[in-house]
Amino acid sequence: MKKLIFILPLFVFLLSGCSLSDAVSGKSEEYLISAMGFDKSGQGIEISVEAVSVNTEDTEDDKRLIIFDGSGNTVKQAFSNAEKKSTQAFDLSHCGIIAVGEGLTLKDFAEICEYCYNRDEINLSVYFVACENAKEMLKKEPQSSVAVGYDLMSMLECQSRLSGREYKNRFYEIEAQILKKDNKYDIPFFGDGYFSDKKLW
Amino acid sequence: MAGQTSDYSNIFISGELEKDIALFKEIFKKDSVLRIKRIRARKSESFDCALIYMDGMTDSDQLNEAVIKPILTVETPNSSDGFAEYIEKQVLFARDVKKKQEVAQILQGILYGEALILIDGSTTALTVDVKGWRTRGINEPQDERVLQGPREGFEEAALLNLAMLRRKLQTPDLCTEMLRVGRRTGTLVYICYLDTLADPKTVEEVKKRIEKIDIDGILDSNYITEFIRDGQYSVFKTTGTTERPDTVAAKLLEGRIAIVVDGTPVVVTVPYLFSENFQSDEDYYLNFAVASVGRMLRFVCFFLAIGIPAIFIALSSFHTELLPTSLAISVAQLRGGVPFSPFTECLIMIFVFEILKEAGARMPQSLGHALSIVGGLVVGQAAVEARIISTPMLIVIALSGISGLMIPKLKGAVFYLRLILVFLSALLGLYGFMIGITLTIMHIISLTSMDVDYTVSLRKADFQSLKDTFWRSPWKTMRLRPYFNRNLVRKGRNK
Repeated sequence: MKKLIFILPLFVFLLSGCSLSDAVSGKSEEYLISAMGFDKSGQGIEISVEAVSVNTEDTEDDKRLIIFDGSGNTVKQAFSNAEKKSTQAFDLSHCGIIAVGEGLTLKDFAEICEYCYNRDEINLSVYFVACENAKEMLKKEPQSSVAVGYDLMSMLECQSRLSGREYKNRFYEIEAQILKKDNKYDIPFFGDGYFSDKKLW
Repeated sequence: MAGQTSDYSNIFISGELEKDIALFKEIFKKDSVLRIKRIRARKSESFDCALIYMDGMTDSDQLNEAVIKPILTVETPNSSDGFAEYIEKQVLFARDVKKKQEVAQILQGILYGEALILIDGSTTALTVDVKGWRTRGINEPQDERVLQGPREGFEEAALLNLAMLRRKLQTPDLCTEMLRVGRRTGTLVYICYLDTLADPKTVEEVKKRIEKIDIDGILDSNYITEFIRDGQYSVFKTTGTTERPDTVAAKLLEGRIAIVVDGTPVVVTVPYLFSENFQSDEDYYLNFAVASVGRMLRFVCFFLAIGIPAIFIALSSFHTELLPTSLAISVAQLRGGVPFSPFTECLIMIFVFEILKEAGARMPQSLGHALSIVGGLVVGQAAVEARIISTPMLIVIALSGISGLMIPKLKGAVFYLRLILVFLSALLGLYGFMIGITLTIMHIISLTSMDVDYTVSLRKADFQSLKDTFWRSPWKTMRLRPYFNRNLVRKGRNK
């Protein structure tokens, strides 16, 4: 009987713990983020998040793409504003691309990197790309995969393979440059439908 | 009121025929199958005898030819004192005749199919072995079918089972010790082992544990198993069971001990090692290369059976970053619209699978097809279409369930471990899974079977001990027996 008194609460705790945890609700309840874009806006920084909606209650195969945007004085604020527009939480663990717009300064870029670094769920192997306007780029229709972010990833990898030119634009490589306090980043520029070596800074 | 044979321990027959008959009538007053037949031996001097036996347990022809007819026709001596001995040695044709005086011993004989001869004026009674009950016959065990190899299986009569064993092990080294267990059933339990191979300490331990059993009745070997096994509450088996004489013979040749229980075809073997869960009888009847593939697959399937649902929950709920993006999208997409969390979904599916499995095992064979249609359609198709469960979870549980079927000896352990790991993974993700696996390994290592380490074959990290563990090496190379043996060398070199 004594054993039962100990075991029963443990069992109840296990069951409730397993059912109540946020994580066990399943990833179909979250937006899978394929890419994030940062631009300069009047308020400060504007963030655009490309989300793949996989909750397919209505259609069988259709994966919907939604762009959430938000502005703020800081990256954190902008991200928070974008999140507010969403009905589901963001899952950043599969984010493949972080795009930075032309108007951003090096200081903004450092803030973006710091913010991304502090968000544990963002993978350190995510690619950084530069473009004229990140939001406009992410709004385009994906060509070969489910999202523009993944299309860009594939293009980048393909181009590197074909040309033998290896960019050092992965997040950990960018972080390494930041630690070295070297402001020279090897971020490919996406414009006119292809990557070039045009430098932002 | 006496209810057990042992209650008549110090009561002896009186020698007065009517009084003794009355005694047995009183003992079996509510038993309508007891037969008492009075016989009068004729010629020189007449002696009154009574034949007492249980109808249905004796062979009537043998009783007539070997007992009644000789007594009726024989010339009898003048004195009743030597009559019992005279009958025993010169008259009866029966295969075994014993002189007995104590009522308890006589009762044991009658209840085991022997006929009792009471002689007027003699304080010694004779019990004659005329057992003659019907047995099921030798069939192939349903649960241990092999494609290649011997097809005979044990049956319910222990003596017949021992004869089958003896036929395979024609050596005087084979020892068979008999014990009676069960206050009311007095079930015969035989402990068999090869004297020069089995560790005497283990033999003694087995005997000691069986002798300690105090229970009303033993109707199956599992009654004994539950009393003598190590790790009483462990989900892992620490005693082996089989219905195949060839398997028992093979185990005895490895220095193990077999416990044959009268009334059941299931023979218990000890010590039982963890690696035996992954061995199949057929491994030794097929080419070693083919058998080894099956053996290794069983190890993999054990891990899949217990781990796949838990890993899936951990990955899909906690660590999606570890999934390739396209897979993560597919999984999330296929889960779309399902009202339950992966954890709840997994629990439902595990229980549905267990229900289907159990129903399949219990139902008549003719209904098996109906079950597979209901199981396949209802659980597989309809539930997915109705978005009650998701396709990935169905695949995961099906894979886990089928993998579990590869290792039938661990079916209980697989069920519990699968559940525990699912709980831990749903609570702590992959950390929980790793904690669960670590605790399981610790538990397996801590187990013993008859005081022999459960993982003794994995303890010595030498090649020889692994030859019949993870794979099945050719017989030529398996020189040593398992480490708990008294005599380790199985075969010499260059022979």
